[in-house]
Amino acid sequence: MSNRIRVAAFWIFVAACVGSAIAYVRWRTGAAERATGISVPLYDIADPAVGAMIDGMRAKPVLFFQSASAYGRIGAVDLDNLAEQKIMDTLECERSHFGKTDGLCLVLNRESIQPRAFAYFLDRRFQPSGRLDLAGLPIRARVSADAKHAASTVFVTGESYASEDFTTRTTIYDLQARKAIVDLEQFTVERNGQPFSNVDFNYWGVTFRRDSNRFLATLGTGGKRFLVEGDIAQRRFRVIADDVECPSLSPDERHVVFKRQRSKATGWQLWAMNMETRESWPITEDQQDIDDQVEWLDNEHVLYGMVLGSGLPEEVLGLWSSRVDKAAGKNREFFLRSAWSPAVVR
Amino acid sequence: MYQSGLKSDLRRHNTDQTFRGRIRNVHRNVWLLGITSLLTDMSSEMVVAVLPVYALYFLHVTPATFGIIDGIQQGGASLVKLLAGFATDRTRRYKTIAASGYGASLLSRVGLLLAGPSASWLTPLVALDRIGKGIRTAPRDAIISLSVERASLGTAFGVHRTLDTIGALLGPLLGFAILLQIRDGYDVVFVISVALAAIAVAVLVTFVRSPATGSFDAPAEALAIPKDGRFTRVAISAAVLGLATVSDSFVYLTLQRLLGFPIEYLPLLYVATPGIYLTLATPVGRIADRFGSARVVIAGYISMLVLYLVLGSGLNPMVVGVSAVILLGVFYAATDGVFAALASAALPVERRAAGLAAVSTANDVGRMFASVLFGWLWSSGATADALRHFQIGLIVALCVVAVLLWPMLRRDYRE
Repeated sequence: MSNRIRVAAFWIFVAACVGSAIAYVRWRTGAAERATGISVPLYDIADPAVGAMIDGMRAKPVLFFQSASAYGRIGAVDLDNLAEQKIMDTLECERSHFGKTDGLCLVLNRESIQPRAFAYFLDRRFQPSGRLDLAGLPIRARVSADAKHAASTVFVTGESYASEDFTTRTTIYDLQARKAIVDLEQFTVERNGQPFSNVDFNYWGVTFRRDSNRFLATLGTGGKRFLVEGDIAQRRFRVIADDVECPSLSPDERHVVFKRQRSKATGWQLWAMNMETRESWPITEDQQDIDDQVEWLDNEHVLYGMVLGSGLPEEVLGLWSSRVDKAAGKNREFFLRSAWSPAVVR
Repeated sequence: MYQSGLKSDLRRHNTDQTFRGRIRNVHRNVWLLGITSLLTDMSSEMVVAVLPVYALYFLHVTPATFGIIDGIQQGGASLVKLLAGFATDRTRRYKTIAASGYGASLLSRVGLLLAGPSASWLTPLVALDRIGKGIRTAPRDAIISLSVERASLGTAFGVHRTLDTIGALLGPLLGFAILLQIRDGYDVVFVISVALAAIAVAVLVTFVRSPATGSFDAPAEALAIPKDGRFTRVAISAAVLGLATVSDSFVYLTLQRLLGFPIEYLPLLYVATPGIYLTLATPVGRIADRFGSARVVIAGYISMLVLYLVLGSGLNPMVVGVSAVILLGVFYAATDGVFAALASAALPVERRAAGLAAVSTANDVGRMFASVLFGWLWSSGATADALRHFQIGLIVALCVVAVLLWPMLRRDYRE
């Protein structure tokens, strides 16, 4: 091939690449404008009638979640009538959780060129009242049952250079005062009665106890995960078990359900631990894509968001439930479609 | 060794001794490979930057699922780099092997696009991208080093690293800018990434000329170490210096956790360091050509030593933060490309690619051990102690290297 033909072929190829990319972008932005996306009806939370409906639902145990059909807007469903999902026209949360009265909704800051987010405090009718900046990508939100405290965890990633060592930052809030109290990095840690510290300490997966001052969480360091119990008033942690990730404490405080990863290549498996005997057993099959922190439906069942198969989130993402009892063996049952981040408010 | 294909370029050299003239005189292969790297890095980094958001909020899987295998991949990538280096020297198909490396990365982008919303493909596709990076490094650096005369090696690598780093900086910005404009526009990011990677391969295939290295002895000899020992000295130096180098993430972790550098500014460090690196890479390369690569490498590691001192100085966190970024940028500008230049000058043509791969692997392995060691020192005692141990370690390493590289540090040394 002569040089001129080569050069001409090069420029034709470049033009084809640039042209196809531009055509794709134009088609894609056009498509986004045509389909505003949400096919489900949305309830206007500013409407007093909708507010009254939410109050009514809160009178009984109710499940709040985020709808995959509505970009993470908050949905509510009566636990007696799972067929009727009511999606509210709220903020588009990435993670959320709710207590008796108030809630926490973590929203990605899409205006930011760096990974940033906001923590919004929501009142009982999902109206935001106050927000704080989060310096990372939200991964966990938790609210104590009495709505006194809340916790958020974000990934603080090293921007572009993908690295294996991720950093998390977990913040505890006074939900009633709408303010941050402390970052867990500031707590002291004790293990077997000895002070325990390392620069690579990361915390995530907070789950509050009934008194809402104490809580359980994961401490990650040097590739290991520990279950720690924290005390907000005393700013102190105590390591209570090894190899426990992302715990969730049952309402009666008898069990913890957590995630375990057998090898780096496989996915996660849910395990339960009896808090009294410290005996633990698996409750789901291995190799699941479970990214959620589990939520207790009652004292015997847990709920969690999980992707099954591949496709768009609204088709493949849903809530599943598993029975925790050891005799039940490994089990799971489909619970609710197009949903994640469940929160049961009793 | 240099054959006719390069004669005209060589003749053009030394006509203009100013900085601008020097840059203009850099062989077109270097510019073209620089553009290829710029486009490829942009394509690569724009995807890498949006992958956590894509995985977390679109696919609903933890990024740890694909991020965590990095450790294993690092070792694998080093092995691939070495093998590709040997294969390049044996076959002398510099361009073909480099192109297959860039092609593998292009393929991984196409795969991301075709896989659609599927988490299970992420890990193998990210791995394929890394393998591609491992394949292309040695033949690419060999082409750069064989395209210019020895007196311009520093400038040539400097120009290449500048362009390469520009791509790595622009990529994430472009990726996030697209997501800002188009809600859930991950597919758009992948499409643009494919286009950039395809153009990069086209630039390489169409315009880069494989260096004409003529014929030389049996390829089996490529495995032997050059006789004059200069290369061995450079390779050992790379390993020794790597052993005394704290990884970037520990530098940032020290700033954040120990000095209370505000976490909000942390991402800025990740932009500022390569910013300084890309600004300085070319002028520092030029300095290396003028005053000797070995001296500049030593100066780069002295900058690292100053960084350790600043980190342990107890000054105001913002002052330490700004100095750390500058010193780290200077360190990379004075070592990355310059080390390649130093090694190139110590390697015969027929062992260029494998030798360059070996030096960079020696440094990687050293740094890997250093990371483990630093983490261990840190967890078993105070951070100040870990830093002090590394200060002493680096001083010792610099002394050892000064002895090893002594012939190359002398004023009368001609590269």
